[in-house]
Amino acid sequence: MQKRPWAISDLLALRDGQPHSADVQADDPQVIEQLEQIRGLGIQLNALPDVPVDDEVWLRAMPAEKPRSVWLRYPTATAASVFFASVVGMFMLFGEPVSNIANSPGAAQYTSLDSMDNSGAQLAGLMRQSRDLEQQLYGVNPLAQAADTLQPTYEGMPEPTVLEESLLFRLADVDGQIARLYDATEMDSAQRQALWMKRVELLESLVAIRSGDAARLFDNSRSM
Amino acid sequence: MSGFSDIQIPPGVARGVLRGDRNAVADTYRLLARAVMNLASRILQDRGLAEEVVQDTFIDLVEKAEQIKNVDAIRPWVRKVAVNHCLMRLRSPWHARRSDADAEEIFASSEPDNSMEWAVQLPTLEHALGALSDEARTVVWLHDVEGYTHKEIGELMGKTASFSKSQLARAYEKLLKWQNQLNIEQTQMQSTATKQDKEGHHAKTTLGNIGSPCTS
Repeated sequence: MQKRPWAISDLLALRDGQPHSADVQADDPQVIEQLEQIRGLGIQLNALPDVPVDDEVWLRAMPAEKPRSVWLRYPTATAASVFFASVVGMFMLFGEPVSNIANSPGAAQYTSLDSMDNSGAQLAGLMRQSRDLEQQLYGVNPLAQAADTLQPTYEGMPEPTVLEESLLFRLADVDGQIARLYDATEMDSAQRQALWMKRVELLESLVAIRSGDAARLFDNSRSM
Repeated sequence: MSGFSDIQIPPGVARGVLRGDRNAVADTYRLLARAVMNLASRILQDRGLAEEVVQDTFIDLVEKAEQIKNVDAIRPWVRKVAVNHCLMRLRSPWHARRSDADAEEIFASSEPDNSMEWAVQLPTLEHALGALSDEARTVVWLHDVEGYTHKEIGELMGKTASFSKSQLARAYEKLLKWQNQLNIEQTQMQSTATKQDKEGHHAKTTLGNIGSPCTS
């Protein structure tokens, strides 16, 4: 290489707009040429191809959960269910009977806010419905029925569809809101009821999708 | 190439990560894993170790998401964690022993005799990058690709900004030398091939003339 009066560090400083030696003249043809070469290498470095990453890495990073882990996957929902159990228990012991609460089984009718008053019993009904739907969601998990025939994913569940992912994400968001509401000093019962209703609706949609009920799926996604 | 600066995490996903939502972390993995893999592969020059870094980085995201202060901090946080995992591996005695033997061997072999065809052993920039020392390669990548400043690199590596500057200069010195030498060797090889082609053609013609029937 030709002997030159400057060091590469000076050229790099010049390139990066940093202070550099006075020996380096930006209009020197040799400097221009070498600087071009340095810039070219920088461009080539940034243009190196992607290194493919295997999803196996994610599988190891996020160990598969057991199929029954619907509860574990949503800790706030589990907490809410525990809360539900205590509320129902209190109503059964001290309040009005909960046996009359409209509680459609499985992927049932949408619950309408208009059809309800704000009584604790109805809130308990929503909680119960929510719990039943979660149980049903687990019950219709195809992985649980035919574990050998499906490719398991990192969650030990069949790969969720985009819509399922979106619904699960919204469900987790609702769970977070419910948890925050219970943490708050003043509980707004209407807000609490609305959130539990939203939770039931989301679970109904998930059950409908997992059950392969395309018509319901379409209606649910449109109505939400 | 997917770099961290090209990636935007949607606000909903970012908020989910801060809440510890697993689906949001999964989405973030899908967005950032390739950038983490690119960074780790280039610094470590070992696919297995790079995959470990990807894995450990996202385990950290799952376990320590509460440390991230706001949604905009997720991407730099992931990048910094990934860099730290790379540096930890470079510092490990096992890696140091292995790389000491290899590092700059080819560059070093070029010193005494420039006429040797050494550059063609590193036919691409990827190879040349891999032949730099761990420190020089890390500095080149963090500075010129990831956009870290010398001060930040110095802090990450437990050294000074001057150390980072000198490593970058050393790296470029070698990369420029490699590029110039590669050009010379490739030109030489091309001219040799052309010469051989011509000689072959000439020999064929001569043989053809010898073999042709005499007309006199």
